[in-house]
Amino acid sequence: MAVHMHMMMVKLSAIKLADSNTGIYLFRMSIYMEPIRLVDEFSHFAGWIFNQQEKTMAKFLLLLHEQPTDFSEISAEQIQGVIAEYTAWRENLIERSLLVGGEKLKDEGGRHLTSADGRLQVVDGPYSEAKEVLGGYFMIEADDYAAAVQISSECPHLKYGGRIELREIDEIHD
Amino acid sequence: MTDSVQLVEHLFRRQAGQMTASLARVLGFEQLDMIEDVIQDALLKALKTWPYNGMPDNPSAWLIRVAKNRAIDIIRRDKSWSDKQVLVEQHLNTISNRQDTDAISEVTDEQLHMVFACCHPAISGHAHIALTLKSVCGFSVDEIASAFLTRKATIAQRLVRAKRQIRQHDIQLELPGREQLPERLESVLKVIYLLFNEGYGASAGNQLIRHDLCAEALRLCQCVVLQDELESPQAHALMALLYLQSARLTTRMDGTGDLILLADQDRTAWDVKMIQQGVRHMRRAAAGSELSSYHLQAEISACHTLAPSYHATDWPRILDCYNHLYRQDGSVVTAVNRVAAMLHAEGPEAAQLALDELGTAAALENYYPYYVTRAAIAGQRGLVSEQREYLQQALQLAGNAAVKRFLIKKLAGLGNE
Repeated sequence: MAVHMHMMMVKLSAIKLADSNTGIYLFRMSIYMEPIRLVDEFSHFAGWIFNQQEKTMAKFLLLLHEQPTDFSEISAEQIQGVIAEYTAWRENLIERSLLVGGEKLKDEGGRHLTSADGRLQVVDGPYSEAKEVLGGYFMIEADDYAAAVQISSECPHLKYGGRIELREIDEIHD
Repeated sequence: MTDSVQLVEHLFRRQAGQMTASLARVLGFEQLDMIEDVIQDALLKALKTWPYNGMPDNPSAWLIRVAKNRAIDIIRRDKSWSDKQVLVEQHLNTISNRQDTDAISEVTDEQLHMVFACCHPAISGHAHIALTLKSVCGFSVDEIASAFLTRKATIAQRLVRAKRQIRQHDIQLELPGREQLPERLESVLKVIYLLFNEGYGASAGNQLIRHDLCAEALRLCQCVVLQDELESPQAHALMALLYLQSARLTTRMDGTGDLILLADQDRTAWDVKMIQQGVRHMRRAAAGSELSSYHLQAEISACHTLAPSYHATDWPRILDCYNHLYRQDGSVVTAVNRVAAMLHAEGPEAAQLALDELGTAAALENYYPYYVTRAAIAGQRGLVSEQREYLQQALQLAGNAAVKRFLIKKLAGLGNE
């Protein structure tokens, strides 16, 4: 999302992708105004950013691909360790108000839809046979690709053998 | 959800232990395989969803809910449960998490019953520790194997056999009756003792997991001494021993993983609270007339821990304890320690005599501390080349890298011939 600045703004990025009734909130504030502290349920998604210059932020989608793995032997202690790493990465983004949202997709192949000659075909996607599946996604904000790559490169997903596909959202501005 | 939720250390491992006991109470100890699957599923679900959604406000409650639902799914689908399905579901729904998050570090009563079941005489003795670590403490087969320097397949086999024995003998999760209690308690205390020793001993293995073993032993013993029907002078003696040894646990190695001998340890870094707890349990252990091996070892540990310095240690008293211990167990380990104590208490000549009396058993000659002790005696008698020779023999036998480094340093300190 591009933010065109005429004055100092506080941007509240309280968006969760799945919720259609939420969106980006923009508040114009005087330069001397105290920042708004968000509490409770919103604090999870939202923070505040001062944009000092004429700076635009772009949204990026991180598609997390992974190989279906047999986890039957991973220990409770290791699981906690991995979760702690992801949590640290995620919370760092929240603190910097760069996380827009993220969700895990169900462990199955989903459905694949095609249409040929007006005939709809729906097939179950392969899961167990698939070499790689889309595990979930994160949506972040970053100044540019370089910044988005930096953020993605720190995601523990890569360390554990996953692959991240990074795409910029193509936004239409006035 | 907030971003302030922090996972308590070892939460998952301990939660797994508590859930295993809770589910086994409802579903039966013989269902251990199914219970382990259910819990692993719950932990994996957390692994897959929490990175995206963040941590739930109450991670424990989340894990319990998921495990419970998974168990209900299974018994609804599996026909062999059909006649008791409703009842079992009702019981499953009584499993709840404890509100106090600190409680995760405490061993529950259910878990204690599980310890007794894991140490049941119908289960082979060498499976007791592995089964306890897996079912009560939430360790994985890999972690157990790495702590005991055993192959993973060996541990897995032991567990499979133990589970068969649980089914065959219909072992229940309960405290034994009054008549069997002393004997059963003894085997539980022994498992706790061995668990601690495995973690404390300076042989090879993953250092982190070894510290965890000590912590687990401490936790289990704390739970035993808190139970009115279980606390006994022997249990308090073991508790004292574990506290006194744990107080020195972190000062035994430097930042690079090199051994620091008792003589060189920073005594001000010893854990005062643990020492106090140890002394408190020593007092309670003194009730009654029993003088168990735990009493003697706790006494030795107390002599070391309470001494203002290495040289001001009460060596005659330590030697006295080793004399008693050696009469009780006649083991190689005790024999060598006794000679070392004698070296300090009565000098190198007396120690040399005691050493000669031991003869040349194969068990001694494969035990590296035997040669370290020989080297120390030779050193005190001014026989440098002998000392060097013994240290070299010790070096050949030592399996642990830290011990090897220590011996090499010691050899270098002797200089060249």
